Amino acid sequence: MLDTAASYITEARRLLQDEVEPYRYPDADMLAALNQSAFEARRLRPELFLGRFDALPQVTAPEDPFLVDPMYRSAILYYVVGRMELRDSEDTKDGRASVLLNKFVAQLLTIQS
Amino acid sequence: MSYTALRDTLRIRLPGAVDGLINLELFNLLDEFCRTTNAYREVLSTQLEEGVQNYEITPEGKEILLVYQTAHYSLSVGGALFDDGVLKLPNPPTPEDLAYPLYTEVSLVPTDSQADPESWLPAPLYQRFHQALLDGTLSRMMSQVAKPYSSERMALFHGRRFRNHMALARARVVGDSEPGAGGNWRFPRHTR
Repeated sequence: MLDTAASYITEARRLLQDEVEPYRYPDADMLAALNQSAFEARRLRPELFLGRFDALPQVTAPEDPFLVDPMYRSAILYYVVGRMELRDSEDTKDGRASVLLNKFVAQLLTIQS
Repeated sequence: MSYTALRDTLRIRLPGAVDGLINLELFNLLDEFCRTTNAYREVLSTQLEEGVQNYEITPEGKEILLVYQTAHYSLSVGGALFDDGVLKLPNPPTPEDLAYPLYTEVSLVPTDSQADPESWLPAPLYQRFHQALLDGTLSRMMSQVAKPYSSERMALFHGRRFRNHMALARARVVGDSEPGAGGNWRFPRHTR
């Protein structure tokens, strides 16, 4: 469904192949990335937050709701995964991070993505 | 044709557009359309009160642009004034006048962008001006920058069509309100 922070985290772990504890990417980092995605999406497509410009969705716990138009939830997911991949560790690849973050932008601004 | 048909067509013609923005631009368009053409006209019915000469007649979520005429079965209302949403009758109603409502013909514009879009215009007007509202909203949406549906060329194309629709609607309203005025007739271009 991708309507709560937990659902984004679960899906992101699947793409990151990080489903076995102890996790490589802690929940706190995922929540921070999710919060950052709201600011980025606000910059690119402000109408996604029509009527709540002063209260963008921000999460502090996995149970918190994170609601954007369903058309753009996969873009948000790609941003979270891409931001995790940006970390300087041996299991990440800069190329993959770049692809995912660009995909986030492309999905918000263009049709063919 | 209805609001639903309009919204669904816009959803299809504007891939990636969110409903909130489609509705907001439709609202902005209706503001321009109604103020320019006075095409949204209604006859308001007001229940009179004995001795009361001032009446707030503005419907909720609307603004009155023009008052065309007022009429009452028994009370003389010629010379009634309209100012800031209040209709001022020249004579106070007597108990006999209360049996009949006061009718006021006005042109309106919706003012509440948060209201249900179906309430912005009566269904027959959504039907009558379907093509105008479609072209106008498409033009406004496509003229936005950096959106999946941005298209300067198509924005100009739909904008031109919208202005033509608006000119026709305006002429039709003039023709409707002044019988014999020839609302659809224009001086030839070279004489203007």
